[in-house]
Amino acid sequence: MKKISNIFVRHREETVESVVSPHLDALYAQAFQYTGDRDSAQDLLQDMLVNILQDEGKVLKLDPVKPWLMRCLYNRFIDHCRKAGREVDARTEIELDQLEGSERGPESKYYHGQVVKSLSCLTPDQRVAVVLFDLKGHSLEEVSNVMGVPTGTVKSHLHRARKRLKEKLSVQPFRPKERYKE
Amino acid sequence: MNCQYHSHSFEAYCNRELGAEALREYEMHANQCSQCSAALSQHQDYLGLLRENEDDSLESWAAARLLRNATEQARERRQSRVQITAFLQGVAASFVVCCSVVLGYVYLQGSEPAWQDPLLAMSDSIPEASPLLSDVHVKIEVPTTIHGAKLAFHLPKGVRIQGYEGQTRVEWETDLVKGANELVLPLVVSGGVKLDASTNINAILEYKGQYKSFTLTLPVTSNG
Repeated sequence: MKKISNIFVRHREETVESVVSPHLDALYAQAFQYTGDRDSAQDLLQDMLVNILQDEGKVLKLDPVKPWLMRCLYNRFIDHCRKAGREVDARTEIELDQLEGSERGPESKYYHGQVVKSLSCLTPDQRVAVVLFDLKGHSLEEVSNVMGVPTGTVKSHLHRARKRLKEKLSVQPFRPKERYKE
Repeated sequence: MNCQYHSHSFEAYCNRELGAEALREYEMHANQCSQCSAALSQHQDYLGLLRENEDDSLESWAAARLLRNATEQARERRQSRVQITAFLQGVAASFVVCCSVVLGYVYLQGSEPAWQDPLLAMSDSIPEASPLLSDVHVKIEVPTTIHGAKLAFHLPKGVRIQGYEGQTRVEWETDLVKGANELVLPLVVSGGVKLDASTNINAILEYKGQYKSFTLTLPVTSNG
């Protein structure tokens, strides 16, 4: 990322890229959590970047820029879901190979797949709320700003999402604590 | 039995809304309450499993490619938008110019309903050999009373207005009342001038920068 941001220092037209590139890692991680696979995450991120790069003046005026980028990514994710017309339980088969790039053991991959499958059963708003709050540790106000809804609505999304996820994940054969002991 | 602590504090605990004091109290209570203890344990398991779901990372070359592709696509879309805007502006401008030309032509050609063609009443036969003195009656109808209109008559060769024999163009300011206004022009036709179908008197009525032109056709007689 540092090398990428250094490349875009010299030219005026590429100043926007230098503003955005330090946040690409975090945005990609978010997109990955939202979508559950690499290809969809890259598509989502690229789609978001194409949109924001059309309005360079606006991007350059923002400070800080990261909350706005997170908001844009959330909006694009919702748009993608609407266009795809995804049902809540659409994902039944997940190719484990495409789920992550780092090396994992078989058990870890299994759990990873189960979590992704469970997340895909949530509505887009519930998924975003869980990813941002429970997974990434953002505050309720931050999540509220990204999603553009009151904190009460965020809590409602979290409550329903957790209930559903806990039901699905509670049937897993191995508890995380036991695995941690290994 | 439902634990009151669980009912009120568990959600706040999950949403990280408890202050330090309240958090400490809740955790102390959970150590002694089976319901709260089970709920807390399940929530910890849930968070642990969720956070086990590690993020995927984007390689630097992939990030650079993503950014480059997005930049190119954004540039293409901007150019396309500029071209479409310019095209639409050109179409709009052409439409405005065409409308202006058409309206101006229509107005000057007299197709506006507010102006009516003048009614021409001519006197009878005009002898050819001698100077002819004849009154030409011109009726001009206007839709409203106008003050300070200018009338101008361009006379063909050999035809003059009595009293203005030296002038081929006679112009004066006049008022016109709403409806028909009859103008009598005493014309003098020089001897030897043969009038034919092409002998016309061109007239212009001008009012506040607007012009109305009309043509008076002199009748051709069969004498001589």
